[in-house]
Amino acid sequence: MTTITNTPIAIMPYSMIYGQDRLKLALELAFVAPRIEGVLLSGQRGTGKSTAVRAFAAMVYDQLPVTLPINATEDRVVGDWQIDELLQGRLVEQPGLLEQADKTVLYIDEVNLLDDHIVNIILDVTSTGRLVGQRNRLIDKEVHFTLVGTMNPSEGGLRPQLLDRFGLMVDVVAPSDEEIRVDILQAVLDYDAARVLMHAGQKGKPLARLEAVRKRDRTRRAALWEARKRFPAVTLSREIAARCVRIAEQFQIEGHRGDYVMALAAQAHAALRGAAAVIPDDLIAVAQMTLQHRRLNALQSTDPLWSMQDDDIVRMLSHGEMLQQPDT
Amino acid sequence: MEDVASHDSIAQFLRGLASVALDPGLRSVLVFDCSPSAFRAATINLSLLLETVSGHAAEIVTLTSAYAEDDLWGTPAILQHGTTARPARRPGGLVQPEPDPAPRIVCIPNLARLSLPAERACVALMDAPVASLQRHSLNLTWAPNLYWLAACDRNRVGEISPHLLDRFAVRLNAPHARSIDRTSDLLAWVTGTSVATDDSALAPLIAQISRTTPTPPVPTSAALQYIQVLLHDTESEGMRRSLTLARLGRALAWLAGDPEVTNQHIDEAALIIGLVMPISPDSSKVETDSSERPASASERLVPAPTFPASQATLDRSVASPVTDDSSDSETVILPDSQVILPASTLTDPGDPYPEDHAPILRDRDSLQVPPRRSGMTTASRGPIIGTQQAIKLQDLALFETVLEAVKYQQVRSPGIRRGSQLQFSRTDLRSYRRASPPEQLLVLVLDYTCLRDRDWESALLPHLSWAYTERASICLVQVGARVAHHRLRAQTVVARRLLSPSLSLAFQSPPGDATPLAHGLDLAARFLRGTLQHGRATIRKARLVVLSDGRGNVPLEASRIGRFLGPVTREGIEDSLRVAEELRNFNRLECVLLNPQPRQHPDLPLALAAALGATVESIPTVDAEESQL
Repeated sequence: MTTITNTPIAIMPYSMIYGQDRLKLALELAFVAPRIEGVLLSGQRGTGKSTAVRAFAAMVYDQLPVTLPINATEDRVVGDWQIDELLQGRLVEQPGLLEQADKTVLYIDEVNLLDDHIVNIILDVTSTGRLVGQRNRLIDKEVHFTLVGTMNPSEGGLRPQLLDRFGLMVDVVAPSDEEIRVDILQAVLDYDAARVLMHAGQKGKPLARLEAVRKRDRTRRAALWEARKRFPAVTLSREIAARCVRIAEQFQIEGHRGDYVMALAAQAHAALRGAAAVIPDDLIAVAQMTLQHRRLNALQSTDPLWSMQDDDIVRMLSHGEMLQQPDT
Repeated sequence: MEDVASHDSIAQFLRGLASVALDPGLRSVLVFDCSPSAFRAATINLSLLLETVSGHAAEIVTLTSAYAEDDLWGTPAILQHGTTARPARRPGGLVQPEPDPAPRIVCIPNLARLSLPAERACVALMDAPVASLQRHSLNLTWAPNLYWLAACDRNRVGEISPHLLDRFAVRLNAPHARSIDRTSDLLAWVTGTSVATDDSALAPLIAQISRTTPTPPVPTSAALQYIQVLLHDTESEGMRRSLTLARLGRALAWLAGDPEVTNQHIDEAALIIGLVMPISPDSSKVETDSSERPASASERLVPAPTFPASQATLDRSVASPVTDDSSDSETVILPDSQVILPASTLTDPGDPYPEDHAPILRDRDSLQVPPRRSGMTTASRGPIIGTQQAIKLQDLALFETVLEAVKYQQVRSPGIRRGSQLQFSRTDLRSYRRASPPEQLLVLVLDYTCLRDRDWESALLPHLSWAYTERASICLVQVGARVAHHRLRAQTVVARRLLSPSLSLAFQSPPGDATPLAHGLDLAARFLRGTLQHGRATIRKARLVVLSDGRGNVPLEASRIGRFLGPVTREGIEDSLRVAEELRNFNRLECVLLNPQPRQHPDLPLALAAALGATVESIPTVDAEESQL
């Protein structure tokens, strides 16, 4: 069967999403530096997580992200033969979602509700970088995608192996500032009104505002692609790299993946700023989202994953300061 | 007899439905305490309103507890055309693959009884601008044109995942029932002319919709700020509720022909959904202490048993217990359930968000697919939840296997003719995927009248840990609990898993004044008999843990008939021992007696243990523990 899209799919523009700066930063960093390999957006209901992911993909790629729904069957994940051709006696490959997402984004909404069996397949592919299948058709090819997942943690956690595949993790909360909340309401209602007018073939102010927002999207898209082009040239000094390691050690992060991702994310942050080199402020900006889900016992504890004290520690270590040891 | 609902409440209800039909952002309605006939009427009314807005008749799909994945999303099928048959696809109720401007109403008559696949489908589809289907060779992306209408008893919201509930934007209370003339109602019902609701308010609404302008009204800044005031104490997560109130207010302004959405429209919207408004609705800000914000769902679990170490060791992700001050409240018994709730925990009628206060009565991670457990001999016993590629010849899904083979016939045998045998390959085999039934069972007979000054939680902990680790199902037999339906009878609480809120609540009961131990053991025996010995039993091993001092003072006969037949001597004890000897003969049953070491009649628990054939574990007294420190 082929892909069918019926009516136009309306996605709220990225620049109309207010009050989620950290969420947007994580998506942008993972775009600028695909080696970061993934973003997990975990948080409260109704905070625009899914909206932001779709809007971001629509902005930078001009298309919706390749989406893996929670009830997907294995043949669609890994790939199979096209059934219409099969019935005619012809073998024509139908790429699965993992192949379709190669060099772009694979998006899993409600990732913590995904079937274990599908999770295992994703883990295999993300850890080896190869899609290997031996079912109805043989397949062995290199596949790399940015894995983006959204979830509500109250409906269950993630297996540690899958959690580790996400380079960045953001705790998404609704803004408490009343002005921002009013801005959000205004933006959504504006977008609703624009859609109604479009559907009715009418003109009006909401449509004009929508066009202005889309222009802001185009500007942002250009800036992001420029940052992605600039990224390889951003330098990471030995001193800054050493501070990455020191920070990861301070937070007792297992393995080296934490420092790798922090360094990549800091470089991407510098690229977004248009800078030529990584500075301590870049480390400070990315530390929490690269480290919080890798802390020892992060999954077992009910305590918050990150605190203001952790911010202070990161700030000091990023600037090369020594931490005060407790008196013995 | 059908009660005729009051005109005002119906009009308000219908305005809520009209708002949903009119505003593109409101596509879901949850109706509380709605009778089946009223729900049917609401469905018809919503379809008429949608037809007015869209110009197309609405289709109606009903989701029930029986719906599996293939029913929702479509399933491979074999269609016959004359003398030929060919593989095809039977469309699922939620999929709209062709461009179709007609709206589809998804009706859920009882949200608390929805199947797991349907719940997951709701979470994925509701409020989503795009839907994706990736199943069985089908690769489909579309903009869903679905409207959702569900009904739920307010007192059962605790059984539903808040993640699912949150998807329902508009909350309505079923129109109030008020008897006007019972004789007329009876005659109307007999002759079949009664209606569940008076829909005379529908025609004016339809006329209003027809007159609406193409441009929706614009909300004033004051109105948007006012929404924050109204929901200040209600919205602790996300912004869905604010958005709903804003959209509802806009729809009402639209119906009225007003160009702007003002505080007045927001007030009307709040009234429709039953939101309590502040005393001074014109105030722009209400100063409240942030500590008064409603607790999150994770903080409102029913009181957990006060096992000092057990909660931490069993599962740290279960929230801390909250104080339950309902010990003096009159208890209320829910139908079709063995959960007994204090009345004070019931939600207020009219509250649009009862999930904020309702005790949690669902399993943890209730939206996740049950895990596959390898090496289980009972893998072919649980309910079917899907199909998978088969790795052995057990429990084959024959139809799906045939369909898989049919796909490859032309490739395997080019030019295959009708009447040729179907060729199968190993890779065609499909087996059923089933939810794992529990293989272990823990039956606890807990005598509440002997727990005083005993560290019984610590004694019970190893057995609860075993149940947790083995994912055993649990049957708690309450003997002498004050919350018992009848003081001379024991009662059972059955839970699929240990971390069930109903069990937590059951452990908390204070002691009653009678000890129907014989009846409790008898209930345990009946339960074990049914579980271990009848039909296709899945339980491979059961453990019976009896915590009692053996001093049953209610004869079994007295429990059965509900009263004493005469003065009570040792009959209660003798009956207990007799039933215990019956339990001794069960296969696959391990018995343990937790001995509270009573000062009076210390031989009785030992005699009970001997009758059960149980190993004895002593429970230290609290005094004895303190003296050891």
